[in-house]
Amino acid sequence: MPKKKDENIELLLSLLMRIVSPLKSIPVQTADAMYFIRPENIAFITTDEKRLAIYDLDGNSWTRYDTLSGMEKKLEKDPRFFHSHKSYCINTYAVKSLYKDTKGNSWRVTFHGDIESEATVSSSNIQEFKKMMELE
Amino acid sequence: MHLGFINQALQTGKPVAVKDGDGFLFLNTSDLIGFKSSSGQAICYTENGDYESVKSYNYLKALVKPIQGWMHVASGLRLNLNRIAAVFPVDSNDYDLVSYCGRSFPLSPSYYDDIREYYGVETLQHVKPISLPQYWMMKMNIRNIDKDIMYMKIPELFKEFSTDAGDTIVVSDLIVNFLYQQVQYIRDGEDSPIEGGNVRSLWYMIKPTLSRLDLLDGTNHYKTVSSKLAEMVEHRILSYGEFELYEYGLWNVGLYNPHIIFLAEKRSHYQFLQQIQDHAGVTIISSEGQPSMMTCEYFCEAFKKKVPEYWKHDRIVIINIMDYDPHGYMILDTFIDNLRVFGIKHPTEIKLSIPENYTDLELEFQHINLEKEDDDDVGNTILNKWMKKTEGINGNKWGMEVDVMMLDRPRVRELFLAAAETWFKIQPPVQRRVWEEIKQIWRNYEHF
Repeated sequence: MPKKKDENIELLLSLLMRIVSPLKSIPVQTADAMYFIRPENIAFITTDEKRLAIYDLDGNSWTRYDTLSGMEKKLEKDPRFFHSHKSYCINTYAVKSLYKDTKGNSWRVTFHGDIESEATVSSSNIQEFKKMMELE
Repeated sequence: MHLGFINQALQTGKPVAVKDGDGFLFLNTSDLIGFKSSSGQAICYTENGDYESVKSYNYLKALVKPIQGWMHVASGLRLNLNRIAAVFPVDSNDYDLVSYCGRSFPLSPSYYDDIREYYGVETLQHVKPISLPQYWMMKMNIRNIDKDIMYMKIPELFKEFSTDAGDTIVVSDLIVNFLYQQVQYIRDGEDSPIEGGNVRSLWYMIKPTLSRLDLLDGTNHYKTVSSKLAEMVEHRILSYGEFELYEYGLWNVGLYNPHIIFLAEKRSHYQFLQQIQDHAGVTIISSEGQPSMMTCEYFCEAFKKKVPEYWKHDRIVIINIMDYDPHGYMILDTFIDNLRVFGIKHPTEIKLSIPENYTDLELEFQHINLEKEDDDDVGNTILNKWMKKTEGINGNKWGMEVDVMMLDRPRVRELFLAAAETWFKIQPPVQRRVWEEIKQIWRNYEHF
């Protein structure tokens, strides 16, 4: 019985984890303020020249002056984030669909919510991604 | 796991009853943005309005105490930071906390550290790391303004751009925000409203607004537009290229030895530069006095495409023919500073117009006595600094106009080739002589 209880708590925690990130909000800068983005509301992060563009599920794009690897280090305790491509880190819990890119070897992912932008999964990361998404 | 985030995500919390007219509303702590003390009771802030609590302020304080994210932000004011979207710096010590629904609450300096620690940031002033453009945007008070500034009514303009007293418009504030707003429209996919125009075209866009504000008397605000635009470009907030402005600078990136830049101060020497380019395939540019920021931006963008290692030490050389006087040195320094702004940071520099390259006769009879020169831009301090750096001519405060040297162009050509010798990647004479080809095309056209 106690074992069952532990399993239930574990299940509950994993379900909660899908709703809420265990991390603090991520600060991003706009022209006049510091905004706080909840990690669970991030769809994906990509590099844009010398900065990061953070796309949220509401379709907004935010700028942060950081490196992708630096950002991934900050997010490493949240299992939803996956380094899908050298320029992309995606929220796997928010992924809606996966399509093979007709022009190359990579794959495109779309997201739930109001976001129209797509992210990329490179051919070298696709196996791991498929495992995470229960495709294999 | 942070209970405050879970509360918020599930939109649940501890029950809170509030008064609503003759009845009551039953909310929970996640519905509240905050509450403040009012005669022992609490005024609860929600997205839909403010309500007086049934229970006391102290009761609510105890109720939210165990929930993460509920913090004291001012005397008698507690906020649910799970519902706070942003921190707006008001000035160096004051901040407003703004909720997702746009309600603003002042943060008392006494609670600054608690809030900063809660968010896990070094400062609430800006995100770290911050980019330099971002820093300058904050310094210049550039902000996101929703309404098109050109179509704002006069009271709206006063509300947005006036001094604290509210009676005078700060024109520079209006202009930098107008420029930023225009470039934001372009970045969002709109066509440049002044494609192929010049800085004056931007001025004509904002002029009617200043006219409506009765601000066209006195100060020349075209200059404000032009200088603020240059300042914003210098701080990399925007670029001239984004506006697709027409640029008519005299420059051309070389085909064979583009990393060697031959710079002349004067427009009249550009034809000579073209001849050198035809012979050696180097990059040429005439600064035409003080080089404009726009020319430097367009020049650097083209240059960087041809010279992929432009950021490395000792890969680029600027061989120059400037007047040997403080003015010539200042122009050269400005040019090098401007290159640095656009990413070309470590050029080597070789001056051809120096006393060693003039004959004794020229130095004796063709020098300019800089002490007697009437030049408002060059005061005694600048002249003395220049003397310290160069020793003038034999210790005298004398300079040389580069035109003296240019009377003997074969000598300048020889000096140039000697200075560039170790820098050539392709030895001159190079194969294609672009300017000669162009001349030939024109001759044929005229003949035709």
